[in-house]
Amino acid sequence: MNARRPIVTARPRGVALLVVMWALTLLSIMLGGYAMLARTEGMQARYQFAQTQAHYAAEAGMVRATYGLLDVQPQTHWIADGRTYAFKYENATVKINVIDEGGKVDINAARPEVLAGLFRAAGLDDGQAKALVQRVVEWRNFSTGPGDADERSQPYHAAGLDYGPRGGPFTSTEEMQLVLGMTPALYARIADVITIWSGRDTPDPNTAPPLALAAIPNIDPQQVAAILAARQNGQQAVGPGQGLAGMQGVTHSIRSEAILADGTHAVLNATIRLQGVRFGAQPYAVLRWKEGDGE
Amino acid sequence: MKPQHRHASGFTLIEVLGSLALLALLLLGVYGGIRAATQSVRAGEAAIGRLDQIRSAQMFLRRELAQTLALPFAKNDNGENLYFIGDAHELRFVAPLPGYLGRLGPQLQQLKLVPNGKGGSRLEMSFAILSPDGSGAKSLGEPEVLIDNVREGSFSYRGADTDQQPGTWGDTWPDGRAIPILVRIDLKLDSGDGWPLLEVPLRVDPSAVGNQFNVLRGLNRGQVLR
Repeated sequence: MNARRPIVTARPRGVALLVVMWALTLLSIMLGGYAMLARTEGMQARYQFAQTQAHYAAEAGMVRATYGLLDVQPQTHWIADGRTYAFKYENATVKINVIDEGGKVDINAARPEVLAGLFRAAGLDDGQAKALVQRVVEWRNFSTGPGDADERSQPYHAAGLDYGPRGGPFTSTEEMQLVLGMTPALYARIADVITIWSGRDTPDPNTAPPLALAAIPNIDPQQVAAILAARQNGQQAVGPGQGLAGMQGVTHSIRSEAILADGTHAVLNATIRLQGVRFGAQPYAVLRWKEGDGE
Repeated sequence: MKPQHRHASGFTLIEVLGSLALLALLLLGVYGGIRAATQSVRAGEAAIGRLDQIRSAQMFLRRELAQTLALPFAKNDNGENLYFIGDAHELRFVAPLPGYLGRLGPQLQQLKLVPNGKGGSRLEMSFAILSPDGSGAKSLGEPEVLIDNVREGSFSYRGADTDQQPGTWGDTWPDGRAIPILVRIDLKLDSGDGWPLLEVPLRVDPSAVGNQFNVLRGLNRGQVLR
């Protein structure tokens, strides 16, 4: 009896220990996984909270920019040539750039030379630029009949696309991506300098961003540099269409970026049209509203 | 005999039965514990998944609705452009999709509450490409389910304020030539999870944008979508 006791008690204790250890291992794996999941969820909720804060700070920037543009005092009036305005809003830093749409290339109204200049400035060679301009013009011009439309659609179908050119003005700048020959890389380069709202046949040199400036026919790089330098000094640019006209544009693209202290950031891109203060009308109308920086 | 037997086995029947019973009790306890833990973890995971689903649905809807474009996708009987169509269980608008899907251009998006066959309904979103040459909208695959197991829900719309009075909420959006300034999506979920009331501001004003599109041939050719 005395010799047997240790064996009897040792055996079950060993099994019990194993079972309990296994159970503990299983439980800890399960709970560990669960804790990770819950933590991720908490982080996502916090991220959303910060994102929402940043979003509304960016929206505050948007409204501030509109107010700045409507301001008639020359000292406090905001200038729409792409310069950065920054201010603090609660715990966010808001940076705003305003670009007058008049300074961009209107893909519906621009002369073919301007479009060709833009594509060249964005890195295409002469031949490619010409071919692409041809496609863009084809896209926006009314077709003269069903036969004509079919003929224009031919290259699109040949390229495996199931649509043809619109045969009418572009309805959004994004539509430019559908034009045959427009590559995503090229679009990414020109997306910020094309518009459908200006109605001008060349960009206004007073407000044009560098890439759009380069698209103006008969302008050389020295002149571009001179205009940019003059703008830096707060002077009016020289060139066609000079004077105050560029400053009185009513359609502006505003980019508002809010950055919180922890690095969360939100970007808003909008195009607004100032309508003046009329009875029963909003002082401005939003033409385009885009959240985030992606395509 | 006796010493031999003792040598051969070492346990009495009672001892074996007793230890088996103890072991069984232990295993039962362990199994019960693990089962309870599994169940609560699973329930927790399900709740987290559900929350995740609700959050992503809300973020997606908020973003897409806020980015509504003033692109006409249909015509009314007088040939006027329609930009937004909505009733209590269905709404349609045009907006760009995020990410690489955005390359396809702005899309006609349809948000709909459909019966799910289990007495409730589900919130579905479907997309269609607006063809640039006016050959009608091409549907892009099957509708995506945003939220399932919705007990009841409805959409409502609020028009712009005027000088005289603030805009009012309505179950339908009668005039598709304008875009509501707010859209409300109110759902009651089966599981009792809260659906935070979603009210999204729509920014674009088609009255400022609209005029130039009236000349669009391509869209004039497009059939009226029903």
